[in-house]
Amino acid sequence: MRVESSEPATDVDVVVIGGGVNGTGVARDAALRGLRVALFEKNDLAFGASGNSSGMIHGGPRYLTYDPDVTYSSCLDSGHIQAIAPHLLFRVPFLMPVHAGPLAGPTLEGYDAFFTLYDRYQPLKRGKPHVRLTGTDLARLEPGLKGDLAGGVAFDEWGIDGARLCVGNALDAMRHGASVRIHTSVTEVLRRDDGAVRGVAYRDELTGEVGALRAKLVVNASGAWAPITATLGGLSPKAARLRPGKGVHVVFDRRLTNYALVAQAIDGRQVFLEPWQNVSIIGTTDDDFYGDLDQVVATADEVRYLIQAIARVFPAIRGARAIGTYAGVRPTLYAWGPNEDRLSREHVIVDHARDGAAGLFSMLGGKLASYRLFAEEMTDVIARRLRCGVACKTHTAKLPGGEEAVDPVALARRFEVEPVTASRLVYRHGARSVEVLERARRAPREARVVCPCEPVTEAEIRYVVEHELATSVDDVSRRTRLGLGACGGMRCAAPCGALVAELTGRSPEVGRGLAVGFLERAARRRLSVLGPEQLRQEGLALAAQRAQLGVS
Amino acid sequence: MSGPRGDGFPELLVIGGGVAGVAAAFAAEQRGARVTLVHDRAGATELGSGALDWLGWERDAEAPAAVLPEALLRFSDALGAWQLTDAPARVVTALGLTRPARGVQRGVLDVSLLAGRRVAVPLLPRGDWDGAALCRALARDAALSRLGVRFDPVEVSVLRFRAEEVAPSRDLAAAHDAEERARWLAERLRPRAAEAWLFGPWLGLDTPASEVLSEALGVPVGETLSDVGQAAGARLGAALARLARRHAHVVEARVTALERDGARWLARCEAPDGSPEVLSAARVVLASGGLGAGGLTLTPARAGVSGGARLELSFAPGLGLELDGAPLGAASSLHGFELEQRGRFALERLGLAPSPAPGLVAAGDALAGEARTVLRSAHTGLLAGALGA
Repeated sequence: MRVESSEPATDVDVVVIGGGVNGTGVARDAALRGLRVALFEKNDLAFGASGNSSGMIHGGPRYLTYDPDVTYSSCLDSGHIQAIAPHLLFRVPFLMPVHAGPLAGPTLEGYDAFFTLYDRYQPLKRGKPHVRLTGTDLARLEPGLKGDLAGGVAFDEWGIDGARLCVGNALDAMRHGASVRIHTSVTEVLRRDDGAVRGVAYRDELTGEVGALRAKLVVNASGAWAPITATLGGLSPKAARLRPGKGVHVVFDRRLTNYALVAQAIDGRQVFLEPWQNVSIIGTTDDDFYGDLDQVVATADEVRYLIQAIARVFPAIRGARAIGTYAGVRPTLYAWGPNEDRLSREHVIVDHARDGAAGLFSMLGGKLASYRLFAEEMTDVIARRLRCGVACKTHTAKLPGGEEAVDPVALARRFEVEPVTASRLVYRHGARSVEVLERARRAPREARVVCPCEPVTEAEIRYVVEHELATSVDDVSRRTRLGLGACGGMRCAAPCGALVAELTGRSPEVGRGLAVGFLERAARRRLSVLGPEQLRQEGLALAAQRAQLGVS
Repeated sequence: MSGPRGDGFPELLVIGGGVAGVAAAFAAEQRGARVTLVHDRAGATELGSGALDWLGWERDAEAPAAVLPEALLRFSDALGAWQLTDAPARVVTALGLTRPARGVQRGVLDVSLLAGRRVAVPLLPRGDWDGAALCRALARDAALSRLGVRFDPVEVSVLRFRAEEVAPSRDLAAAHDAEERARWLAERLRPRAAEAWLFGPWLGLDTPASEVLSEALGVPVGETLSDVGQAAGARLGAALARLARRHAHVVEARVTALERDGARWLARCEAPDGSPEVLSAARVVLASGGLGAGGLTLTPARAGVSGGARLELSFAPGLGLELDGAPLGAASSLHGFELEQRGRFALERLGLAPSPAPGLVAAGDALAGEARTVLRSAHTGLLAGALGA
């Protein structure tokens, strides 16, 4: 009898499906442990919930009373993320005001006790302990707060750009040998006669190229798409069952406040106003969502709900200029019955051997703050299965750009760019900013600012196309925030499209098409926030579009 | 100031100082009317790109032979800012797209007149200008290759200060109003011996510096089309303001309501300092522009009525908002009509729905269903002015 090798030849050890924070996190972890990894993402990195979150790796005080494990792991991992990507984090101090009234005293005592408990977790993420404030303190700190304030508390969280976090993980995975393909759909999870997975079939959405890759294991890290991905392997969608929750945010043109504010919506839910990078964000909603995951947009109803809630503590929000919305769908774990807010933010790993598909795993649930931990747990399972003895390093190994601190002011002086250009660049690329600016030094015209709102230079656009997989204006925007400022891409989308087309060897017509596509999607996200004054602004946007791009 | 003005009521009140309003004032005054023009500063006119269209450029390309009305040509002569010729013009955007036009505003380079020439394009480090990409895109343009026009990027420093690399293009244009700057620029360009020059919309706000340069160098010098709020729109605005002052009594105020008072119209206005004013006339031309222009008021929702607050026009009677011919209750998403659910370019299809009212004529973008081109707007203004006189 012939002895067959029990290990058939494979191209890679693991295929990861999904380019969000979980997928890129697993790809990085596995690559760092020396495994051969391929990641497929059908849209772009951070296209789903990871790039449309509230932009915080908060410790989850909301979960403290009924899910303290989530708070603990969030805080611990928030500390790890800080250590590996210090440039991506910024402090977001929160104020939680309490208005005068018969219940003000007990409410304040309650908050105080609650945050005393939360303070125990704060050192894990280098957060400061909470502070109890008087009404006068609050009015001084945030003059826009409304009415008769009895007092409140201040507590500490960290902000982060979720898209940059995904890009950082993907880049590091690639640096350690992983293959990362975006705009490439997995069309089928291939299985052997005995049901075990043997690889994936894929299609490049840009070129139409199809192919197959042999793999020992396949990880479904596709977030809210997980049930759909499960069906690619012939499983029932219920094998990766979720209760997807849509969350929307409204973006305002500037930092409206010094501190993030917590407010209560009409239904008692807590919502917030947060100064974030150079804009302000209000959020968020949480509603069951079963629509098209590739086309999630905020509706006017959702926008009104949020604005109404924030106006209860910060009335100036009604006069502020909203410049857009964004929406994402959380891959919340399935449960029948409870209100969306009460659904667990815990994460689980499903081994589909239970469904007859050995070697296929689904990552369900999770949140931005604990993505690294989730990825570690998943990779531990993979490593055990593949008998790889290397330990996880993702909590100490720096993400690209996090290797050393860079002083933006010194950088601005050294490369003769505006300090604000340098500081935004350093935020996004950390130590790698030097590489971007070196380009501009070699070719001085690359120092020109293409997106003045952010700002983004030509050098940075070229950099993200050449080194960070960007192939469209939308991709560049996710990596640099180009076109996400007050002008909505009116000034920068077209020149960016021209650059991207040139760098990827496509015609100027294709470049214009990329710009038009970006502007159309931006306009669609903006429509639900248009107030009477902004209608006129929208007229400007349309006129600009027609004048420059000939769109009729 | 309050109450209607005393004797000598103006015969015609024009609301709006854009291209349609000024055309109406011009036409009515030429027919002997006394015209008052009330406007609330800049409108869509400031969006002008410098290309002049009649039907919209795609349709103009199909039907280039349409003869422009005589009245429009007379208005153009009086305005002194446009070049309308029988042969269609061809213009270039800053992205390297060319397109046909019925004419161009002075200062914009008409490449259809440059057959067989090599046009120099300066390279300079501005965010809104990529000379190399512009030339690459133009090299692929079929219309240009038929004409034999070629574009070459040229290293020439035409910015004087570092700050001009990031200054808004309008500021750069204003800097070229100084005659000395144009002479300086001419000296820089002269050694290059180009057959023509193409610049961005930077060559003067009040004065067409391109003409000064063209004369100094002996070759055509012109601009690409302007983006929103750049030089071309500002130049048109200035020319319209000059023409309006010659043909009407100009009042700067925002009309907040238009009411019927017996046989007359009363326009309640708010001056820039906030003081109220009332203008009165037998006839009114409403040329207040498209959506979002003056006269929208918010009516709080009544109890039991869903859909949030209503936005409606205070211009009485019978004017409302419509989308694709169907009336709408409110104008913005935040007040209840959920534009995001109305499909692509919903906003652009919105217009005013006029209904017949004695002595009230709408013109320009305030007219729903009309093609919104600058020449078309001017023409509706001329017609309205003739009707109102």
